[in-house]
Amino acid sequence: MLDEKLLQERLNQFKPEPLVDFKHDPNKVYEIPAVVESDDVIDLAKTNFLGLLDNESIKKTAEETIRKYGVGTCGPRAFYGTTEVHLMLEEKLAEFFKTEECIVYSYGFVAISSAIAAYTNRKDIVFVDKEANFPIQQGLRVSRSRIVYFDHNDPESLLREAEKIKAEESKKKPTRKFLIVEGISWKTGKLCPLPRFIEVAEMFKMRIFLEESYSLGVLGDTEED
Amino acid sequence: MTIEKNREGYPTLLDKFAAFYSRYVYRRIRDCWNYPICSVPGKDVVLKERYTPDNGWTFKYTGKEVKCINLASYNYLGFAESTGPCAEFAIESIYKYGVSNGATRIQYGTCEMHKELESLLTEFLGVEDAITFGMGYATNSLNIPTLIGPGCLVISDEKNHASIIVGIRVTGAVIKVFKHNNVKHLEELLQENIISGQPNQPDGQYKPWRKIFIIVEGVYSMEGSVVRLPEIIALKKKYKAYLYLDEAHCIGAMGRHGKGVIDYFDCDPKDVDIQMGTFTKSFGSAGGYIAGSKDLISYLREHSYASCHAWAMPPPVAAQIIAVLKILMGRDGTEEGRKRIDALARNTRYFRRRLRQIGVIIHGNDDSPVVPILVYLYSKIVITVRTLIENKIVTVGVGYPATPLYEGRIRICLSAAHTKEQLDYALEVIEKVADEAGLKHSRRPRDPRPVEYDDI
Ligand SMILES: Cc1ncc(COP(=O)(O)O)c(C=O)c1O
Repeated sequence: MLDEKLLQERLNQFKPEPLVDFKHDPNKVYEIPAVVESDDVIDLAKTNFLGLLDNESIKKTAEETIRKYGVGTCGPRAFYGTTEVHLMLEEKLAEFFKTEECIVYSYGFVAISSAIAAYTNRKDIVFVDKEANFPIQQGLRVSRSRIVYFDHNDPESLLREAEKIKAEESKKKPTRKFLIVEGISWKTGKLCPLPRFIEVAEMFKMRIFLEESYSLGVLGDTEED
Repeated sequence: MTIEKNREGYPTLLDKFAAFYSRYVYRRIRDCWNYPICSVPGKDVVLKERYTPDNGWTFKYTGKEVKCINLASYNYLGFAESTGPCAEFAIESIYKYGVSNGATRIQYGTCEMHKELESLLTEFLGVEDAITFGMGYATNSLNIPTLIGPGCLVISDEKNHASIIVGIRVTGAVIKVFKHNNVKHLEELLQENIISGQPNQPDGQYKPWRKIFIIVEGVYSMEGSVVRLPEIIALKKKYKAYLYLDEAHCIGAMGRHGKGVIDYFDCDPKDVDIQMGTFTKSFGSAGGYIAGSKDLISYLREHSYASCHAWAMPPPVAAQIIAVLKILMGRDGTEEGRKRIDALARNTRYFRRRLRQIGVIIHGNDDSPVVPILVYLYSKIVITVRTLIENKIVTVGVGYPATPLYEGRIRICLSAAHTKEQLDYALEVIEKVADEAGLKHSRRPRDPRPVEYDDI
């Protein structure tokens, strides 16, 4: 039974903290606005590695797309939100990456966390870099897998951690294992020694997630490596 | 559908059940979903016709296009348009600002479009301030963790959207789930947990919660139900909790002024501490917002993962929303906004009453434009969706795992853009399918009087 008196007492005592511990300051600029370019101002602040933001033919294509499909899709992929444009994009990307297939998401953060959570579950072991970015962490929390950290960008540290797990598992059926690495680390900007990571992953039959937010389109001399 | 290659000796990628389910249940019926389109998802939608030569392993395109009545898209106000003022304004913004700003909101990505959008939205919602993000899902999943932390209690409706669940799972808060829209259960949980305080304290000491959050949606997209907002506001005041309201499916679509469920119930916007919503539905665009006090919004501008790490909302996406807001607020100097809001309300009531007359079971509030028809069994979802497509009507089938196994349904979303003729034709076909497939499960007495569209 509910103890009414105790409830009243505790409710009276309950002094919740403010919604946010923060006071708006009318004199502060919270967002640095975009640079307006002109003849003597160039915007070097934005990320425009390949100079595509000002590409007129891309703008034209975007216009044509709106003239055929409108701006939004008004629904998820499964519910009539898949347009021919999505199919074309995925086909081109799969060709570019030389993969069997490809799926696009509308937001980078969500692509990372959703993909991780889609494949991993609480029975799995996931090997993760200590400096892994926030969306990776978020995906892992959702998956509730067992997480094993290794030192930043260090395949030998991964190897040691994997050996430990292998010893633990010597008598059991092996668990499904995953490795998550970033091409270029969000946090440190360092390039990951991928070939050695792949070697180690193969030794222990780990499947690999490679997060390329900062490396895609930037590294490699044929645009494709 | 494919089976993984080059992974001999690896534990399988899919669990036994998932592999069985995807290959031998879902594969056989997956023609009911993911149908590609080649037009704007307006009152009609054009399908890229496909067939499967091997019962769902692969699909091939016939090269033909098929126009269908669209009862599937979240196009509540009919703003999914490829012509007209909204599309033109979006296109204009591409040439002025580009398709992306290539930067985050907090550093160099905020342009005039964002400022204008947020100031219009602030006025529309009757709040102190509002902030927008590039995706609705991320608005929940990335902002909830900056607002809620360890030592907090979250009480969440069992039917809340995945983006909310992902958001609260990473907060470190204690999470309690209440039965869908069940105010009594919500109150019991509040009482119990206020009495118990934070769990696992040394020597069983009493430690009150830092904060308590109630998280609900306005209109539930799989149920068609409308949150019992006035009662929940009363509870949140009584128990000193904060209220987080996700208006994804009701902003634009509910209320006399299209201002969502707060407007529908004539509640005070100040009583909802955190108002969240998306632009993917009524606005025909993309992205989401959070609205509330200046302190709250400035805090998010500075701390939200989505402001600091993700690129700002693309200018044409913002432009589409601005143009829609201006119409809804009557700033375009026409009655267009009013007309659309009224048309959606009329179409909703008309269609729901007619469905009741047919004798199918429908769920949700009479004013909710989301209308689930309960068909229960998988096979009935499939036959209904397929037959409707053959008759050039598209709807959404929803089954396990999105619903419990035996609560399969056909979901219809009404739009201001639908004409009476379209709705009448759809009702006629639905009645036929209901007879053939056995969907007339309702034992409610049927009102035989004709429903007059113009009198609604
Ligand atoms: C209640 C609710 N919240 C959030 C979202 C996510 O919005 P978006 O599709 O814009 O990412 C949805 C969309 O499906 C939703 O229904």
